[in-house]
Amino acid sequence: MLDMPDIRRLLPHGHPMLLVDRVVALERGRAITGTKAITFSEPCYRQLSMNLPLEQYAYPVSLLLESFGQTAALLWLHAVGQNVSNDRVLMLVTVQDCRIDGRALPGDVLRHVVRLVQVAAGVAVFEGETYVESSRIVSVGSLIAVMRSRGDVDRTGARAAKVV
Amino acid sequence: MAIRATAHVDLTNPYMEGHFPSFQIYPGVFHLENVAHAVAAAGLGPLQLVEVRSMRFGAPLFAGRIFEVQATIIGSGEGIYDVEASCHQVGGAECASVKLVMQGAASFDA
Repeated sequence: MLDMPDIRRLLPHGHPMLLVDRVVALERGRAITGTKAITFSEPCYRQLSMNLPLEQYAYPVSLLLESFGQTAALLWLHAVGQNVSNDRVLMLVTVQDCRIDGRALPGDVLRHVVRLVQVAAGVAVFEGETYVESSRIVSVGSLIAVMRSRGDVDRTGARAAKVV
Repeated sequence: MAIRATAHVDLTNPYMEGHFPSFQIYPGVFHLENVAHAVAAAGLGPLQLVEVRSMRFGAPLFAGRIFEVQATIIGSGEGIYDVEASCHQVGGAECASVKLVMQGAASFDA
């Protein structure tokens, strides 16, 4: 089990982008279950006007996948004992075969069940599902992340702005 | 149907503050929302994202950069739309390419 102090030692994300509240199950280097509570006080809801139908309160899929990805990152970083570092950055590379079968609303708790399928040479492949209570709302066929140096990220970003 | 939209990496977006506190990079997953908003602007009615067939991230986007979304939408005739989109920096490299399936907003209520 990991609580906020452990999670903040492992993930570089800050408020309000740190989207895992607790790790409730962890099988080192193999599988993890992380939770995230959704509330109306999150920034994604700040510009919603009154009198909108309930579906407008669905938690954005982008944040849902980010939360899933951060849970995957915790599994990897915990396994390798990598704490937050200004020199190393974990980056999402691809997501494939992701089905969205339901939605989550303020008051719901997301439960991400993530498995590490393969890891080699700074590249990790994950799969898993996200549930609200017993309902699966998302399944992720594969999510690939890489560990890169901060210098690499800076150089790639600067070059990208110039490439035509 | 082909659509094109531009946006910029907005430092006032509260999520940027936490991604990351020591240096800011636009969260790649936000390109999903950008594509969905571009598709919504096409006037096809309220749509929900039901499948991310693939989403690949390229060059990182730093604060202040302007990027463009180009999307192609193919309708199946049953309220289901296949969307292929590319997000790239204006005059620069591709940041993300996505293949999505979107459908009528009531799809989760059935």
